[in-house]
Amino acid sequence: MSFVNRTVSSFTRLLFLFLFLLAPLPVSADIIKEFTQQSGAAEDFGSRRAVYLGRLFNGVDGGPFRRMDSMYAIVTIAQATNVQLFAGDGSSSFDNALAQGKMTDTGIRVTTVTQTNTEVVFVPGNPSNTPPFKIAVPAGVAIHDSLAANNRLDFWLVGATNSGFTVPSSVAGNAANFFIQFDRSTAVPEPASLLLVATGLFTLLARKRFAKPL
Amino acid sequence: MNAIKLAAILSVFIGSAWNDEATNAGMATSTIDQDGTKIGFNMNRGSASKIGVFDFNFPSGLAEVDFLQARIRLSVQLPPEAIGDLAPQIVFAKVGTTNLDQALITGDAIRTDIRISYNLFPSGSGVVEKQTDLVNLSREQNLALSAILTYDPSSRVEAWLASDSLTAITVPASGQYLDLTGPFPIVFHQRFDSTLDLVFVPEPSSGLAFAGFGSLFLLRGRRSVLRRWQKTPNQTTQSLCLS
Repeated sequence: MSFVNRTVSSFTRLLFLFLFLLAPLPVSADIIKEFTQQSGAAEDFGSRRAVYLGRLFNGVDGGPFRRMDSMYAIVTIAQATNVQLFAGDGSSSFDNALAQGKMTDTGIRVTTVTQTNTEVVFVPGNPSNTPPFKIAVPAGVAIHDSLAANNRLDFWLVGATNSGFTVPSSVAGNAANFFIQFDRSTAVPEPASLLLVATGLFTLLARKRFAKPL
Repeated sequence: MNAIKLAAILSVFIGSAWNDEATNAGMATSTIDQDGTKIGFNMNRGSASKIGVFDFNFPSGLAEVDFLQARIRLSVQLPPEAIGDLAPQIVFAKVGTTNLDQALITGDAIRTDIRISYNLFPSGSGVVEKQTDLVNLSREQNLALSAILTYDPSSRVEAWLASDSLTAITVPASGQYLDLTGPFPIVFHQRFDSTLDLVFVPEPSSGLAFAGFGSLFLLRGRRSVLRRWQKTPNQTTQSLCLS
């Protein structure tokens, strides 16, 4: 029994050491940002109203990164309440792209301050003084996968069908731009950290159990 | 002599009508900042955007004014389907209207035939400034507009851009656009204004009354001749005219 005890204890110690050494692998991050003139092309097939903003990050590859961690968005829009920002692959037929899993809800919601003006809306705020919007992990991974697969991202603003928000391509002769910034990360929550905790607990429990005199 | 009288009568009629239009017809113009308020229209199947409250000043009052034509200039964003019958219309309404459906039923508002089409230059999916041509106002529209302007002590009328089926229409009070060419994003702000022109003439009643009295005066002799003819019906008209 003492042999078994020693074996288990040694194994768990080795495993713990192994995972401990693995855990602090360097996590790298970078920022990609771009802007372009808004398209303003709208689609409303009865289920939702989607307005195509445009395509960004042409030619950008996935690199070593795994997910989009956080983001800023600046859009020009009027009369919007909780309009959703989607990113993915598809410059037309939003409903089809969504059905095929090519579009991902970033989680960003756009609401104009007034309902009487065409506004430039910063979400979550001005990048110079506001922390970025945290993207949910599955959405961040999906958006990054789409970028890695297509080397570009298409952006859509989506609201309820027949909703009255408008997305201009120009305002009084000046280009209406939108801007997106992603903070990319190599870090993806994986089972490693969970295993580390589990192993630690197991070791403690094993010690407690097998240390008892028989 | 009768031919001379007839010519005189005609000249009085034509002269009075022509004289009124030539000397007193005019165009009333009002420019205002756009309002931008949007409400549901046609039982919320469409939308109505408030362009603003136009202020007109008629020195001689509105009692003797007929509105013949109107045109408008405004900054608007329209969807591409807003053409033909789907192009939104200009609706005139009493100041303070909050429910355009109700106002149209009660006569506090009137639809015009002025349509703002996506195709109207310049087209595009942005906030663009459009101006219509002068569009004729029907008698009903003229009367309703007169009533709306008369109702308001300052001769004001609200103009709305109303669509029975489209909601993605914006008549913004102001617009912002983003300049990202520098190191920091810069937001520019621009207010939008709108101009309503109303072509009017004095109501023809006064001119017609004058012409009527003139005709009666000139026809005094003619009436006496007619009375004589009724007494002696066997005489021909030709002979009467020559008498």
